Amino acid sequence: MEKIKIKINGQEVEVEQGKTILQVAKELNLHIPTLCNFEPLLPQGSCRICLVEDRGKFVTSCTTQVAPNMDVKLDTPDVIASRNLILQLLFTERNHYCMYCEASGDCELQKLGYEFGLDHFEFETYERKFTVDNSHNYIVIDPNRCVLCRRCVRACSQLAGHNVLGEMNRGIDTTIIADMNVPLGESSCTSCGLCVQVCPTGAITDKRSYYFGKDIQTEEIYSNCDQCPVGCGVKIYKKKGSNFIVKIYGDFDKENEGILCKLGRYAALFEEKSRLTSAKIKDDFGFKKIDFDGIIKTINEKMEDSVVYVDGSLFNEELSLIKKVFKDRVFSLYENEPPIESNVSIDDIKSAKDYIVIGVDLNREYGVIGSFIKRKIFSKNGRLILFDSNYNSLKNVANYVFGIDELESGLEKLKDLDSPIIIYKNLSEKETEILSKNKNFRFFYLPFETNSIGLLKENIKHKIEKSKNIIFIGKNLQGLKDIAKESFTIVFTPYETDEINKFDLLIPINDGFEREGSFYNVDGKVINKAKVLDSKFETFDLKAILEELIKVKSL
Amino acid sequence: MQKCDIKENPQYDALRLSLRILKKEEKPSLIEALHRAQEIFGYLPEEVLCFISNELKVPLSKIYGVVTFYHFFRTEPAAKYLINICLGTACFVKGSEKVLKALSEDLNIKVGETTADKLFTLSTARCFGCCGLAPVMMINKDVYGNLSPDKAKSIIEEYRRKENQTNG
Repeated sequence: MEKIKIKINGQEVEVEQGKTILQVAKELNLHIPTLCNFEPLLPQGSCRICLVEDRGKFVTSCTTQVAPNMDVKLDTPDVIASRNLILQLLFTERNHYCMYCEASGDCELQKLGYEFGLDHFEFETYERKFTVDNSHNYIVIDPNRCVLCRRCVRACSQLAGHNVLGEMNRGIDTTIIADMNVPLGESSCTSCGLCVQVCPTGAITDKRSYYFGKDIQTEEIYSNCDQCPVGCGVKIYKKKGSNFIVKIYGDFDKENEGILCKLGRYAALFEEKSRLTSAKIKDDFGFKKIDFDGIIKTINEKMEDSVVYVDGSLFNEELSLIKKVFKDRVFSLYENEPPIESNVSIDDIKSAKDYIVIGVDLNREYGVIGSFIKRKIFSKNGRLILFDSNYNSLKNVANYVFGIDELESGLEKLKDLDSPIIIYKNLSEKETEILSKNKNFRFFYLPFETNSIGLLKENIKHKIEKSKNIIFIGKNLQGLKDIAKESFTIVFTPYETDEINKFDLLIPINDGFEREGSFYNVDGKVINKAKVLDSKFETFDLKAILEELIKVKSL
Repeated sequence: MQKCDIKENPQYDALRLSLRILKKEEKPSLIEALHRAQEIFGYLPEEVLCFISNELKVPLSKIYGVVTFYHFFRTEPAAKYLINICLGTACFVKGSEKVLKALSEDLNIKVGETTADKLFTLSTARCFGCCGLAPVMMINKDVYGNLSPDKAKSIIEEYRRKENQTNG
């Protein structure tokens, strides 16, 4: 980068061309107040609070790039007076009575109020009232608290690529809307929640964390999401001194760039499935409680004539212990081998031009991958070709849509593809054959379960074998019913489901934030997940049971 | 993105043709597309916005923002008589704002709105190119010049009378 000389507060400094005044000032440790500016988003200059003076003219420092001969003054009396007036006007426009606001304490507008020593409202305030939108499952939009910084709109388009949020009308009537001014709950919102994370005030909040804890009352735990194999970086806000997660935010410094999907941000906290609360064993009268020693004894007795089935919800550490105890009698209950191996990474997805998505609705699952693709399509830097016979919510975004049976003829029609990335979950044999023929295709496989790849690394493959005793470890019990009919079945699982009572020994294991461990993500990288909560039930740590089994065996 | 329910008709064919020309440009102009659509349909119903969104790959929320930002675009069909009052420099100096205020009170609607009987839509414009007649208003394609608030009101009254006669 070329260096130029400018003056800041009368002092000559050498700065990089292309940077904004705000960025340069930050590097020099000079403070400029900001509100609408938010680093990963493109600057907009809508709040005007970051005004500075350049040779007698006021400019917004977040949008103005440094130029030769600039003579920038950050805090002349005129600048300070203007900022004060701007802040007064911001407080005047809508409802900024802080003490009734959820965001109070964490609010950036409030912080500016303190910084500027605001001790009264200069003008009549809160004269026009807007309707609060409470239609969404997780998110509340209160336009009365809005300062129209458009961080949410920018995050929704520039980062998350959903393009649901926009703005309506002009001037003081401007409001943030979803789609064509429909309630957020009825809109095309995918509940990724990034707008909540970037909102500087209490205008967009989420229902779960409402009045449950200010940032100062929480501790931040950096971890990764284990809802799907993308493994996004998350920042978990746990209430200090209690066994409670207030909210989950995306980590801007990780590969997911702060973006999460509904599963990672909300489903993990909101939708608590009914848990298996204690270990029980079936006898002639039904189920009765069993303790740790009883479990070890029973498993030890049944171990000889047994096969073990696992699913992709288990972590690497657990899998390697299972292999140690049960050797080569461990199988995956479900298909876990990719039809075609991946040869690109998440970074390649971000930089590619053409995408071919086959049979996956990326708004519903693997949402962050969907975000990366959608934002390229909307910025006209990419094309999406969709092959799906079911309803797919990417249909309106895609440039070409075909049925899955048109794979061969569809690809024939598209001759000018620029080494496209094929994104798929499962493929039939015929589809695999058609796709592998193309030499310039790149492949990105989406594994079914969080640690499907980990199973392969431990050489655990899909196979169904009959045995006197069956041990299942995992969450997805669907495939177990048919094979477990005549066997003594031991199930390690976190949830209480209807079918669970058909089995013989039920052992509740820790789940979600109660577990720690590592798994392989879509890129084949090892991702760690931290333990945040303690279990509220009499659940067991799977690793402790396995280690005990090893100990007993070696005696 | 929202799902669109588009009932195909010749109007959409015309719009598709216009958009095809626009799409050839490197960055298709949204405002131009909306102008064409309003010419064809008379106003901009939600289905049309949805159609444009899909064709140009511009998010619906952004289109709706543009449509509500500019007074020229209408999301409701215009009434039988579209009153356009010029607020250009010459007309403004000659008092067109007073005319606008008078008509707004007389019809009991704001700019951009339509009367309950679907007879009049009140709208503003910037210069019709006949500043010699300032202040000027247009009702559909007829120009009325040298207006005063009272004169403008009597013109509206005339339209109402004619309408009553044809109905009665």
